[in-house]
Amino acid sequence: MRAILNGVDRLSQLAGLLAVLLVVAIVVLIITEIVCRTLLNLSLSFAWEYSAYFLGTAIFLGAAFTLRTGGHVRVAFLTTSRNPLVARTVEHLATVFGVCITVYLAWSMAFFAWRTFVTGSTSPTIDAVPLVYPTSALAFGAILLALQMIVRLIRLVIKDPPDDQEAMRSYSVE
Amino acid sequence: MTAAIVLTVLGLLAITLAAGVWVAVSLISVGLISLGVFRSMPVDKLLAQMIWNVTTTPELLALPMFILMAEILFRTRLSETLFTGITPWTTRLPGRLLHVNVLGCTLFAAISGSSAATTATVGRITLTELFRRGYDRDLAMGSLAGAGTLGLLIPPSLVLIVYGVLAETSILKLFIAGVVPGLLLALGYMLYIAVRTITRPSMASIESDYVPLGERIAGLRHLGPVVFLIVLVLGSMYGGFASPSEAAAVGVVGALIVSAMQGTLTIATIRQACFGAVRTISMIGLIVAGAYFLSIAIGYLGVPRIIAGEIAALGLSPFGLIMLLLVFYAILGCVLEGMSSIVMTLPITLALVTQAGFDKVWFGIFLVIVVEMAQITPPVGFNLFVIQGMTGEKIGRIALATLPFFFIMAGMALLITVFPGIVMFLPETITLRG
Repeated sequence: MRAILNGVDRLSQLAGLLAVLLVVAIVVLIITEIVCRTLLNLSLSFAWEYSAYFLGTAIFLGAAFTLRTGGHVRVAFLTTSRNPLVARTVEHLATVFGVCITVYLAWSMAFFAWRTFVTGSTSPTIDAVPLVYPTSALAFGAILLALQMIVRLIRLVIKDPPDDQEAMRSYSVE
Repeated sequence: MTAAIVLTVLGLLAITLAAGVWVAVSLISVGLISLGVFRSMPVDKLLAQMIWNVTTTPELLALPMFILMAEILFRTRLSETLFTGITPWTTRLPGRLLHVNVLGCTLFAAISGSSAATTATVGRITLTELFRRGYDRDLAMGSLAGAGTLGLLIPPSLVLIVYGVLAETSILKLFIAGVVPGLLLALGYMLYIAVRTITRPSMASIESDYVPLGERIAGLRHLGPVVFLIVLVLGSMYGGFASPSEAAAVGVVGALIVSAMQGTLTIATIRQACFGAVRTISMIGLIVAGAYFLSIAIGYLGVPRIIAGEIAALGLSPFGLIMLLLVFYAILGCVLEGMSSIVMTLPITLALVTQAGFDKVWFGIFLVIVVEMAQITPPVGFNLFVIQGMTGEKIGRIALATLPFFFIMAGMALLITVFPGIVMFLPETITLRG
């Protein structure tokens, strides 16, 4: 059981690494665009479009990893209540609710990606990028987020710590 | 019926947030449920389409890069060099080294878009030094918490990027408009420190560490890296060479150069900076996605129109409306973090203030000042948490120490309401690309 839970964690971490690479790619693309435009007088129109897709993808690919390391903002008033019964109950309720919404979100993003595939939609720019690539990347991140939320619920039920405390500290600016 | 819709939306939002549901999830859920209950439409299509639209908008590109830049800079020795460079210049001012908090934050704010990062980076050195030299603990902590919020107002600013995207306003104009109020606020903090230490000299250390002018000027070389980055980022934007996104990309490269020159550029710091950045990008990105979807959803339901009607029935003057919003956001800021409270209220409040004749750029700056106040009000005030992490003091004491700075910000919000020109003067005179 725990092997499966940890497997999802590892998958989230891998997706997080992909998100890192995409953010780096955005910087590289924009810098290249600036250099080409100012020095070579060459406009790379695709740089902005690709960067934007990379950003959307990075947001979603990083979402599960962020959930695991406690990075998504929430009001911690009741979940850190001194009354352990209140804290546990609210934590369970919030996570069950989280599972419902993220599963719906994953389904809606996946269906969206499927539609762009079936209709063969392309971006309304000169490059006419087939939209199925970025939309399915976003959908994959959304599915992973839903999985990680389910894993969080299972951890709560079997009384494992739901968030990775150590990673929370090492990645936070504070 | 209309009352039922408004109550459902606001009630759901309050319940889910209070129950500790993640802000992004809560925003999406409120949109989904209220559309599902009151309108029969393909909600899943709308959800995916809106999230796709807003997370892949090129205007948002400045966000990830400024976040990455701040994460890299946090792991350099920039705070030490800031301290060494500024300290000698403050010895003649009443309050001496306390001003390093304000000046350090002001300079750092010009290269960082977040107030928690500004507070953490500057405070890491200044608090230890101020405590060690016997300065008043409360004034040291309060001025740091207050000045740290300048990170949001003085460009670059993550909140202003998000506001610009959601309110469909030029981010560059917002960046230009934030400068003057930010500097005025810094001046206000310094005046307060001066007055407090003149009336109670024991609050500042009496040790005389006068440094001759020549040495002081020589010491300015320590500010080199910060000035280099400010010129790179703000200079390229204000000079009309770069859009905010381009300036951010250049800023990342600049931060890497500074980090390499200070010998802090290692595989470990890069890895931590990158993963730390992805966490923040993902967190803010999802909140923006949820807020955008919710704003579209409640737009369909006519909620902003209904609430605007109710408020209009109160017959408030434009000034009265702003005062109402000031109080509203100050209260909201007690329970919600700043970015979240802006994005979830924006669809309603933006409609209200534009109707009352206020400019979108002006309102963005007003919101940031108000949200800065939220950043230092307990129980949820991120700058307070940062300082608690560094000092181990009780939140209550830190909040009390910060209270005067809270009032200075409130005064600033009033000032720009009475004199909107403070905000609008620069963006109206300078027109740039981007």
